[in-house]
Amino acid sequence: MPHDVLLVDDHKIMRDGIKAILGRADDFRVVGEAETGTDAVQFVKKYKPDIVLMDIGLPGLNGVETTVEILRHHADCRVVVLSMYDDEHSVVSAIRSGARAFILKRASDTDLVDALRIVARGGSYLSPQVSDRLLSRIQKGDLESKPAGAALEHLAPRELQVLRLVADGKTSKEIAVILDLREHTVRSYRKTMMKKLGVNNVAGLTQLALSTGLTQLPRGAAAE
Amino acid sequence: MRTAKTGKRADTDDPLRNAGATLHDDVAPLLAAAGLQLQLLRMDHPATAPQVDEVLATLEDAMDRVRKLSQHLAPSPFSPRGS
Repeated sequence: MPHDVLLVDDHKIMRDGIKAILGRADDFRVVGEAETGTDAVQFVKKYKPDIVLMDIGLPGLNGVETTVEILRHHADCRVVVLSMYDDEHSVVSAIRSGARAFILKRASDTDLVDALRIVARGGSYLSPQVSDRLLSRIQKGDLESKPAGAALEHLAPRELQVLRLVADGKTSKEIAVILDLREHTVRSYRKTMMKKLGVNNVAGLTQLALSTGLTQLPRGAAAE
Repeated sequence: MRTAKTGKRADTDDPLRNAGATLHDDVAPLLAAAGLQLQLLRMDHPATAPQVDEVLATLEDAMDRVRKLSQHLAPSPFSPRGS
């Protein structure tokens, strides 16, 4: 019986190509496509696919945040992250979020089908280019093992999501819609974050998010 | 990180960062998709494999250069230098 796969990528041309490649493999069946992380989470909640093939650089909820959300609703789902980024921060973030595989987007021989088969059997996979680089960094002893921004270390993944969205200017109501939470739950996260981070207002949260690189000022904001 | 307003990373006041984000978010996916289409061509027409492999190697070289340049100009949002 083929494994049900959800494709998540904001580029239709990529989804079409991947769908065609998987169409040549009898052991996978593409059961859905999503352009955004929010749509992907909704699909997973409803249809519970076996595997989600996830672009890491999605607009809105990124691939890492979406992976956390998906696994919160469907813990048995196996998420495979596809990425143009090959830096260790992207790899570590993806694996920390619960992804079972990290595949580098390449033009030539893709390891996509091999990776999906390994993950479908319960295994894990890193593209050779990525694993070689990580191995080298580990051997040199210079692999950064902590996330950026020591101040954010004590925040839970959900709190980091809320913090980024607050810093992006979203209201609690908007955040509730994006993360599929109740508004009072979002307010509760905000209070908890402020307490943990020792700040008293949204301006403080935004400043912290900017200083740690969690978000950046939109165009023109610096002049306002 | 993409901005809340447009969802696009290439929407900041820094033109170099915008260029890097455009390379990553717009150019690289087109190259990757072209690679997938060439792989499909090779699967469906095995006789074309030698020629397709040559084109794929060139495309791979282009992707590696785009990847390096885009990561230099607009680092991954998961990196300490990222947006």
